[in-house]
Amino acid sequence: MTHYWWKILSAILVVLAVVVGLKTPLSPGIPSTSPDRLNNGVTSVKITGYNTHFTEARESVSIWIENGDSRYCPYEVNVVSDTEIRATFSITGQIQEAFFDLYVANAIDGTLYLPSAFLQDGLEVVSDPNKTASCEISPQKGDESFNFPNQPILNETIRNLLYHVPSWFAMIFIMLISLIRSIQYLSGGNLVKDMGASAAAEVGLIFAFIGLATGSIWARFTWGAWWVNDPRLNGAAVAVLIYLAYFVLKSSVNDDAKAARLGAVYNIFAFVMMLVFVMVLPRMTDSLHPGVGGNPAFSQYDLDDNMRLVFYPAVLGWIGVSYWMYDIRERMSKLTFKKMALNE
Amino acid sequence: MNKAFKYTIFLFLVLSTTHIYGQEQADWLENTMFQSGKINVVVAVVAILIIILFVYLFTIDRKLKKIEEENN
Repeated sequence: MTHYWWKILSAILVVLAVVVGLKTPLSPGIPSTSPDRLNNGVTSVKITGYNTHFTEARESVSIWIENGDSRYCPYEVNVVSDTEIRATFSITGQIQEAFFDLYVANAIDGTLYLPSAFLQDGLEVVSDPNKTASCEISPQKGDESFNFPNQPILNETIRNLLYHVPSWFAMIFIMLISLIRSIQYLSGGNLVKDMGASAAAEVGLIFAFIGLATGSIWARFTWGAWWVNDPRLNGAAVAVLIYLAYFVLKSSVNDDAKAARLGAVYNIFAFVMMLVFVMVLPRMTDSLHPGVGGNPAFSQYDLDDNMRLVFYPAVLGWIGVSYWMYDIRERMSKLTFKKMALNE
Repeated sequence: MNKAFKYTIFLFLVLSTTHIYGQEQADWLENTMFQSGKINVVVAVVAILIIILFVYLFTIDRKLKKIEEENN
């Protein structure tokens, strides 16, 4: 029973990450406005909130938009429901930037922010406007409770971080196991080690497919396409192809010992290439993924503290589960090997 | 290993055709995905995660069965 403890632990961590990841409420936010343009003159807009408490905090609701150095307040605000506000702005003359950032504050939700909420329509955009507008604002601090950040465009899909990213962590971990087994085979010549290496590569590929499939769906509804030409996506796809080639190579050689030796050498090459394509190259260029283009991932700007609290156990849990899957596959390979040895 | 390869090719094909089928029923499916803060995208992602794990469990089961039959 003693060697089951890490399996039970990783199962508990995964279940916990799924339950907490789905049950934790999203913090209040403003997903959209309509229309998303501000005319030269008077414009009435509908501001849609998510998980907001506009009617409950009706007295403290304040709205403003910012454009460059200028700040505009609506001259009429009408709270329709908990998630809907109608506001009327009057903007004329020159402005500094084409987009307006929207701020909505109230005592319960705090200050909510939607960058580039409105596009200007018919106004004059100049780098140095002849006047700047200003008005009184009242930023608020909302209730602090355990919730996930509400990011524009991402919205609820920020939870996917807990299912999509750990599968890549598990994949890299299991490929590392595969590399170790291959090196052990090359130094000792024990065919069981090579079987372990291909078992690990197989489990790693499963997690790569999970990562690709979940990422593809996530991309469709946030970036707008099933596949985008992002360095990280293409790198991951190439890494998967490299490992598929490992299996093709192994199955194309008839002599078992030769196939094992070729496969083990190729596997070392494959791991290095996988690291280059998944970890190194995407960081050297700009990407849609957070944490790329210079700064390492999981900096304080990319990952919220509450998300971290669930994300790290999820990563540990999935690494444990992937090792468990590999463990079962390797024991099966050992059985096959025993049978082969008996027959000879 | 051939079997695993076949499954991966199959998976690739399924994934690459989903958007072709999707175009015909795109409207209602896509609309549900964008509703309620895109929560259904999370549902789809968790479902895919579980489906792939179960498909793999199934292939492992078949391999184990073969080993068991050889041992008898």
